[in-house]
Amino acid sequence: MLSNAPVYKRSVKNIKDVYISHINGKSKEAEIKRINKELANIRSKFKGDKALDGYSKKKYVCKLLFIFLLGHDIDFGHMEAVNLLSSNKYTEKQIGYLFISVLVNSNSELIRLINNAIKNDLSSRNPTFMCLALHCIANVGSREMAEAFAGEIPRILVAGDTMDSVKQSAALCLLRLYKTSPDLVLMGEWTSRVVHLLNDQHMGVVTAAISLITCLSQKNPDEFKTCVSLAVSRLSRIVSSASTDLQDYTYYFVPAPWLSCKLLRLLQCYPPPEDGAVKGRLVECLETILNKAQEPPKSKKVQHSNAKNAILFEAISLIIHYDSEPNLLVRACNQLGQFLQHRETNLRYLALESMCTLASSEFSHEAVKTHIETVINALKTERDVSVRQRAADLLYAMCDRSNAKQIVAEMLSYLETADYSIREEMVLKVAILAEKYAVDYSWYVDTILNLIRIAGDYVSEEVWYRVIQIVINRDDVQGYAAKTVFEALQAPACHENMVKVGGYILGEFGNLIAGDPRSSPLVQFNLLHSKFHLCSVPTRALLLSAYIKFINLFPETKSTIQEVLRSDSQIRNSDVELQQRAVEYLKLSSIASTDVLATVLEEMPPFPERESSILAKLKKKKGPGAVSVNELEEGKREGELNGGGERGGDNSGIAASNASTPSPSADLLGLRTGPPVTAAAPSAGSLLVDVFSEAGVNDDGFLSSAPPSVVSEDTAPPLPESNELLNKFVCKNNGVLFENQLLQIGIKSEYRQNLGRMYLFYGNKTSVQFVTFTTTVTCPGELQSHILHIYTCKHMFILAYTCYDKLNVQTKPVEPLIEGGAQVQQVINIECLSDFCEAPLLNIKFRYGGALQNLTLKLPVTINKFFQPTEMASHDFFQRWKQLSQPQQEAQKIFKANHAMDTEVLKAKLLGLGMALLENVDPNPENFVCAGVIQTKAQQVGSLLRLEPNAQAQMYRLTLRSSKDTVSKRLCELLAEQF
Amino acid sequence: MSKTGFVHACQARRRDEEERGGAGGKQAFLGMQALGNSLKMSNTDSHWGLGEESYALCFSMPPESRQGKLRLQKWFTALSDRDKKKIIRDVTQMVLARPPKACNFLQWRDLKIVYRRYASLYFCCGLEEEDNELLTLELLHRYVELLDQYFGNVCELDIIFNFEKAYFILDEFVIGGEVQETSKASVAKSMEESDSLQEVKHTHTHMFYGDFYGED
Repeated sequence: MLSNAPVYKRSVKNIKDVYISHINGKSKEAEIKRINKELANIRSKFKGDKALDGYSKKKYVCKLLFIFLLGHDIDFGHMEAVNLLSSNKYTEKQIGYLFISVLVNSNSELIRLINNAIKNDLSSRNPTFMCLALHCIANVGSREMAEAFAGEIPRILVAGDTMDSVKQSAALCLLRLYKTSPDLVLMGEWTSRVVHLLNDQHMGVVTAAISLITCLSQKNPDEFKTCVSLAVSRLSRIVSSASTDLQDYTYYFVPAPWLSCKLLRLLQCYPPPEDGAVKGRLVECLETILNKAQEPPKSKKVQHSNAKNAILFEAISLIIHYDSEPNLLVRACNQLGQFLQHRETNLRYLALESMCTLASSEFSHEAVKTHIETVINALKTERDVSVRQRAADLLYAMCDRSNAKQIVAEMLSYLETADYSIREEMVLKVAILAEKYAVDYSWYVDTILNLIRIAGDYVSEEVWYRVIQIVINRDDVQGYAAKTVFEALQAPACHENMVKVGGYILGEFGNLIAGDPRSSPLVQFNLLHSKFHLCSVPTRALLLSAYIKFINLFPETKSTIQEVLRSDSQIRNSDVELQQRAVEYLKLSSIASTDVLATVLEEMPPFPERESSILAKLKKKKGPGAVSVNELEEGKREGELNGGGERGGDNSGIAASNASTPSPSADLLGLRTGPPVTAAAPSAGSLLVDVFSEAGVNDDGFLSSAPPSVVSEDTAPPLPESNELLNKFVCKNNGVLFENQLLQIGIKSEYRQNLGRMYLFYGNKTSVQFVTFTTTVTCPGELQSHILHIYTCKHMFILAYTCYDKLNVQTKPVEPLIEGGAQVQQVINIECLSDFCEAPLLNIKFRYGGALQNLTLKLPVTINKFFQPTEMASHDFFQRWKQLSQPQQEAQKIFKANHAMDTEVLKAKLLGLGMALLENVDPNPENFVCAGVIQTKAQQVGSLLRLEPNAQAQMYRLTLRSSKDTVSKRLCELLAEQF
Repeated sequence: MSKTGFVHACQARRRDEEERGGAGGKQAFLGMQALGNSLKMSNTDSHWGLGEESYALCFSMPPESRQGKLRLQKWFTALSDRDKKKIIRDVTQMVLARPPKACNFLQWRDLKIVYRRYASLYFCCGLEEEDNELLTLELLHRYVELLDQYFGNVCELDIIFNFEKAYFILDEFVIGGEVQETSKASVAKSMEESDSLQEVKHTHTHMFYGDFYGED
């Protein structure tokens, strides 16, 4: 086994072979074969009867690591590695620790054994061993390790006799533990001593400790306040030192760049120092750093300038963070302006990035704007796409009313040649800027149409929906829009999105330009129809709807259009949707009177104004961090400005249609077959039903010109049956909440006191995956005093908290993708703060075969879920009953039985309600009485119930009394549906 | 380390390249001006990274297949194996697709990727929003300097066959994604101390070269 010369020679050849085959990828099989052979050999050694000596163990563990690093999975050897930890030979220990750092998961069962070994090494007082153990903790960083060592490490860190190298490791190890389990690292006497490590003589100790201090002060700023003045004086000493003073900590003539940057980063945890002297010193430092940037470089090496500029950028970050020194801000901006034209690509990139943040400061916004030409130039000429991307970001950030037209024009022209990877984002940005800074709406319409012309493929639905929303809501732009879109459609080849917008706008407002003989009704129609055969099914469907609108707008086109509808290619189209539309529209146009037509095909009502869906889309695309709250609010404000109409005015039931029919065509006009129009639909709907029942067309009002709620991705109103679904769960906690052809939602819930936990199971019933599956819980009406969404996005996880006045609902995110046939689970935590009536709404959105499914259900959380049963004797019951005798405390209902009046079933239901069912209380044994207390965070509400069945009349009388009137009323409502 | 072992391996490689017509041979010793000492790399494109905040990777690849081969990886946040593999794949592809002379920073999801190429070896780091890109670039450089200081003329094979040393150096330099010690002398001293504790000085490397595939 031990190597000797001949073996050595042979094996070099072997390694060569394997390695060469490895890198060539030619004999992958051969490599795998050899690796497997080697693995089998190691396995047999580990399993063999002969106990392995430490050296062999180390050797094989090391080989396993090597094989792992070649890219193969390793699933054994962990135990042997753990054994190595207790060896007293340094190399064996070292390899053991390395294996664990690289290969052991933080949730491994071996952690306890590992912890034992670490504990021994930490108490060994041998600094080398201690460092190994600390590195291992920092590398694994699991919660169990935090539990075991979070108390010990601070002691090591501040002990007077600890070696410097151990201190460094301990500081960063503690930082790692604090990041994984902040609750386990308790502040204490050691914290103040940690701050004083900033004064340590050993630069390495300061470098390590400051990372820990920065992280701790972010969470506990008050406790660490003293670090500000210490940091400033340390920084000032470094900044003013000559380049050789710090010996080995000088990096290419730059004194301690890492330490300087960390100090500047620490200062960004705090507001500007209040103490005048400290502040003066700090400003001096910052000025020195800015000055140094102007000095000639001490070395031509790129390392020198990088280190120097790293400090400069960090200083600029601090200046931006303070946002209070106009002088420094402008200097910073000028410095960045210089960098914008630097020959180093890296510096140009970073300058663009930093300027983005500067642009949001009121002091420097104007200064940033002066660089607009340079930035536009960068957008046009940079060779590196990531730099161009930054330039586009900066243009977006510096845009305001004064330069919007210029910037939008530049971005549009850049779009023509932009890289595919960033086009979609660029399109969204242009669309947002155009809307946000639109002073006159003809400019807005021009911009969006240009956008579609230039980058039609990248114009998402949101963008063209939005332009239509705005055109419909603003009558001053409608004529212009019709004219422009008509002109745009005349291009020989135009994008399908253009046809959609054109179809929609001409269908609505074609009459505004019909006076001109060049755009007479027939010309308009022919123009639209000339695109028809080039379009996809959803667009054709939209065009058909536009045609029927034409019949209403221009009676003279009726015969031409009927001709088209009647042609075989329409009326016998193989696509059901198109065929049905053709048939129905044809029928409608020939049967309905002009009045009926005019009502049905009336101009669309203004859209209820909502947050720009484009902004939401951009946010989604870039991750929540990308669009600042500011921007969102601004978007909303602008939205209000543009739109007018009230929020959530009349979203009729049609929106739910997307959920119930898996049709791939999203329909803007709200003209779709299938779903019944709910009672909320305007009268025109019912009128139509009559027309069609006469004509024998069996469809319930498909043509109502109901308000178009499918337009954006906004939340659909709750399904009509959601109340019923809710009632199903008043007396039970588990079951199937909802089911259609696509999706099944199961529910399991448990409640204790005022807390509840609900498990939702979303099952995909199809064989196709659901993508962008998102769920949101919101609360309607009275519950919604404030809604707070906190998104933390790290590695693409989104966590949403919703906080209500009365109910505190916390949802954990679901996977955005559900495979066909698969089921995912979501947990919702609920806290009842005070009594409530409305149930929270659960909105579910996903795409199935490209079509957006959007449905809203009521989450079965009702007030009775928080009942605590109370047993009491007959005497007590009646005494309390009398105490609650004020008229508003009682709610009563007499109602007909919906189900068979079976005593056992009734009992089960009442028990399911959560109250205690009291026997032998009511003199009449037929009657039921119950008692319970509703637990909310704010108060407890005692409630009593009496249910009197009348078997003969098949009626019930239900009486509820409770200390709070709203509770009695709500319980009565809920229960009346149950029996 | 055993110098002879390294030379052997290296010469073997070069011979092999010549046999293959020296397709990648010229690349092998290019691009080292940045370092004071010449850092010799094999012609395999290889990547590494080490993450200041988030993770560190090291991979290398056969040039014709545009797929990186990982040489060293270090993660500073807990991630599942699946996520790690995905990150490695995505980042490798992105970095390899970069044209020469492009800037050293990339945006990938919510991470900033900083990478630098030494001959055919790439080093990458994933950083969080607030981290300093330029300094991370120098962090990578300082790490290469530390490797170079320890190995002499460091080459990819050193990292492949002495991966444990590469890890130990990294642990001395960076812990939990934060710089612990920037002084070259201090790191060198730690490594020296650790090596002096090795019972038989060269056994380790010897063992490794000696009979890795040699035992049948």
